[in-house]
Amino acid sequence: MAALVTWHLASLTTSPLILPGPIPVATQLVRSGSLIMTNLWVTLTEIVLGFVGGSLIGIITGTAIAHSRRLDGILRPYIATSQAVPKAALAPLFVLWLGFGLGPKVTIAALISFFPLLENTIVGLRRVDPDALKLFASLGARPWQVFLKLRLPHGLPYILTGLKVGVVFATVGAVIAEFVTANKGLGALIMQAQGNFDTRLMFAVIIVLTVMGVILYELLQLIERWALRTFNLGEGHIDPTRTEWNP
Amino acid sequence: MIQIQGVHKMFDLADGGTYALRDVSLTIREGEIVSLIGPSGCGKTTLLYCISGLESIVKGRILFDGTPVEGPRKGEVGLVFQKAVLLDWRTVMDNVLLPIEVFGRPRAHYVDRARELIELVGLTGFADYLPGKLSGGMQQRAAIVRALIFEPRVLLMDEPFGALDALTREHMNMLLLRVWERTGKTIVFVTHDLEEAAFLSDRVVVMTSRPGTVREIVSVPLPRPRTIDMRYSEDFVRLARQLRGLLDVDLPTAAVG
Ligand SMILES: Nc1ncnc2c1ncn2[C@@H]1O[C@H](COP(=O)(O)OP(=O)(O)OP(=O)(O)O)[C@@H](O)[C@H]1O
Ligand SMILES: [Mg+2]
Repeated sequence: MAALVTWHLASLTTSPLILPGPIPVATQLVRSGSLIMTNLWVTLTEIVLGFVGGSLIGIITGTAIAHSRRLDGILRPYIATSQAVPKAALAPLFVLWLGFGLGPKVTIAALISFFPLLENTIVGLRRVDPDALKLFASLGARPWQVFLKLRLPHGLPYILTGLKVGVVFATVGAVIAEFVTANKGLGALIMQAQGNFDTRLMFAVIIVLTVMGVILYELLQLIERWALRTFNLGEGHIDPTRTEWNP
Repeated sequence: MIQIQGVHKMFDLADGGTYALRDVSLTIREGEIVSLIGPSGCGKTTLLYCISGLESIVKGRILFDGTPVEGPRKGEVGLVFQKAVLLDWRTVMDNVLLPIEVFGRPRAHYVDRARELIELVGLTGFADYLPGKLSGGMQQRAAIVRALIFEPRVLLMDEPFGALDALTREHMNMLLLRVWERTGKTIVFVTHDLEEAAFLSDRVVVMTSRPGTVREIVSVPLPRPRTIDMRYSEDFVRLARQLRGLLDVDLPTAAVG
């Protein structure tokens, strides 16, 4: 509420081209409702496809790496390098390769959400108690038993945390990709609005994007809570100082 | 009967190998409680892992009733660690039945036995609790039940009560003896606490510092069943002093005073 009031007061002292107030933005939101909705579906599709694809590949690759030192040794340098690349900067390249359709946007969204899942899957599956591994070994457990009964339950909270980060990243990825291809979607709509000096529309779209991001995050948060409670699992962990997950 | 014959164990390190165990020989009889004591790093844990088949040996051999140990064998040894190593997401009952699941045996056949053992260690009513809700001592009791559920030939315990306070440890000692009387299991028990070793065991194996060898095997003259009072008996004090003397050989003379 205080933020809204501050916004309103600030808008009174500034040109509406730079900072439109909350009331004109809200009016715009209603007036452009259907335009925003059409583009929202496009962006949402890209996010969901990219997120699901990227996290699945991340989880599968992470599982493989967690189980094989050799694979880890081979892939690690490539992963480290590709993590350092700002994925958003690749958007023009993907447009060149994949055209102007959903392809490049889904790819960027997938690429960005891939890394948190890869990393968290590896950590979650690997960081089990060495004594627990000894216990399983002493029982003559098969590798799949160690995976199903020890590594997976231990890693699940980490993977769920990765999913929360991943969905936020996928949103960033999809919107940035739309900036570049400027065709359909909320990112494209922002670029068009900018071209028309329609700052009110820009604000309206940004608000919609934010709300959508929050809803997606909360949805995963719900899934996480449900899974943790159902399987009696503890909290997942993520190292907040990590910087290599840059979008 | 477990025969440990001239066992050597080496760990490969970056700068060559080091011996953790050198020429360890020891015979453990059926139904006996044997404790291993010795300075930190002398190879007690390593020896337990060699017996369980988790670690390979470079020279010598370990025989279970005449059969050489060549790797972990299903259902032969029950391991108990210093930590309980329970899976946090499983209830006590589900933790206790983990070995049965791993062996692929029908769970239902073992539920009654699990209940009996849970009662024997005084965890009645806690079968459906998650480990996080139990005290350290209670968790360790669950770990003991898990090790006993599949009727192993031998129980290998690595400082199982080392993390507990003195009083709880005494209770757990009595509990272990009760379990032993009921099940007749052979127990190999590693501890830092020489009084604990003396109180529980038929024989105490004193090891030298690294590379670990057997310095001496001391028979415990106390009768069975053991009682708390025995801890204050003359025999017990004499035994403790003897063990102390054997351990102190490895200390720098200044520290002995
Ligand atoms: N996996 C390993 N790789 C290399 N060295 C090892 C390994 N495991 C044990 N060692 C070494 O072997 C020696 C014996 O270790 P071990 O853990 O058996 O000692 P311990 O008697 O159980 O000690 P503590 O009383 O502290 O538990 C130690 O010096 C240790 O550093
Ligand atoms: Mg040890």
